[in-house]
Amino acid sequence: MGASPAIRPMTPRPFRIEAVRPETPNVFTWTLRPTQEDGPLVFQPGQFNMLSIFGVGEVPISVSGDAEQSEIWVHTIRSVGTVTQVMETKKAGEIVGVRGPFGNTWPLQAAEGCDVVLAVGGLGLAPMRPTIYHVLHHRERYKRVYLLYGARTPKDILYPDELKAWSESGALDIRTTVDVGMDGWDGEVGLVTDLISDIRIDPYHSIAMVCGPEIMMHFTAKALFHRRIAPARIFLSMERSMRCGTGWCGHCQLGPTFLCKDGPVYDYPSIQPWLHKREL
Amino acid sequence: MTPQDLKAFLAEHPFFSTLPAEDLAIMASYAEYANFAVGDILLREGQQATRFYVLREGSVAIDVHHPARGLITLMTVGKGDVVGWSWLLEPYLSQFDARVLRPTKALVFDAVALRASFEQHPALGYAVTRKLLAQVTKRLYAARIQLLDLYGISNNP
Repeated sequence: MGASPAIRPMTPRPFRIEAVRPETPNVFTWTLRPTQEDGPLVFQPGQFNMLSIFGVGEVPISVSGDAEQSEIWVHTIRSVGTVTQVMETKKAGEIVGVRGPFGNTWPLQAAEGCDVVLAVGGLGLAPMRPTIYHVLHHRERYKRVYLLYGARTPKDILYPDELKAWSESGALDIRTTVDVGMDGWDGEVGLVTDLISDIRIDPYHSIAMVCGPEIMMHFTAKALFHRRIAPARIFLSMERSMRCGTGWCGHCQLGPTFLCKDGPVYDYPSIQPWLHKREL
Repeated sequence: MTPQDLKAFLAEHPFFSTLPAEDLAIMASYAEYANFAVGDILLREGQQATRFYVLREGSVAIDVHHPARGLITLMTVGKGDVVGWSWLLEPYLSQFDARVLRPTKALVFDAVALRASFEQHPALGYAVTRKLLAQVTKRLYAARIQLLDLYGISNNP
């Protein structure tokens, strides 16, 4: 039996890559299964793991699978840096290291009985997918649920088959927009913030969860204020250079908070003083 | 839609809602209500800009034609947005195509007559120019953010 992450949070555990699924250019999804029996893999939507390639390095990657599947980890990864570029070369059957899960979770309980706005940009759909699965599993607990998704181009839209299925099921009202339209795209072109003006919500009984590049989240929050959603009902998932996952190393410190331990999910008033701080 | 209905609609629309009643009446006198089907062209690049549109519902693509890449959609606009402001500035030629993406309801303004009327009603002309400038600013901001290519960037090591 290996040690549980709560007991030895700094020790990577070996996982086998069970499947590699190409998603969009430079983006792929790993399904990971532990090489040794160590109990169920439990996480809450919004949390992340530290994934490592032995001898290369370690990166924080949000869990993008279903929290009700306790035998595997699912991670969607973009190949952009030294570690993730090596990850992209890995094949099914190879062994990687996993520490975690770390961080806090989206306010799914607080959102019960409310309209829910999930606003995501780019790869932000991956960390939000466990929340979507949760909502779909417990759809009766929520009122209107909107997924507002901004992508770079139509080719960069993540999980297109699932988006289609979720939309057709009627469980989610999905609005997608892209920055750059292309041949054959007859959907919206523009910013994800533009999608907010047209949704039907009860602003006093709504919760918004926002995930994407920081500047996108900043302006999405402003658009949500215009719809009279109170700042305390808007939650952002922050991304900084997490290293240890436990708040020990300080790499992800933002003002008085450590994103890896206290975050990555914050209500807007808690994190607002530190957004757009050039020195941080 | 009767002139009274048009005036009432204008009074409720965010673009016009701050205008005084007499200005709403002037605006309404140059407007008509229209429905547009998917594929209808509201504006054509290079043609005289004689109309502008205030959308009530639907979706319109602002397109540009690229010789090698064909039609490129720069952005889409919808409920509450204005389509067309080249009518306000010389040489009064539309800069882009505007194509209906989804069934659209809109107020259509006789822009040439309205522009002429601004000579008699400069305060109204100033108010409408300011409102159009707000739309231009919103579009310029959106275009700049799109140029940042936000979704192509990640902090992942």
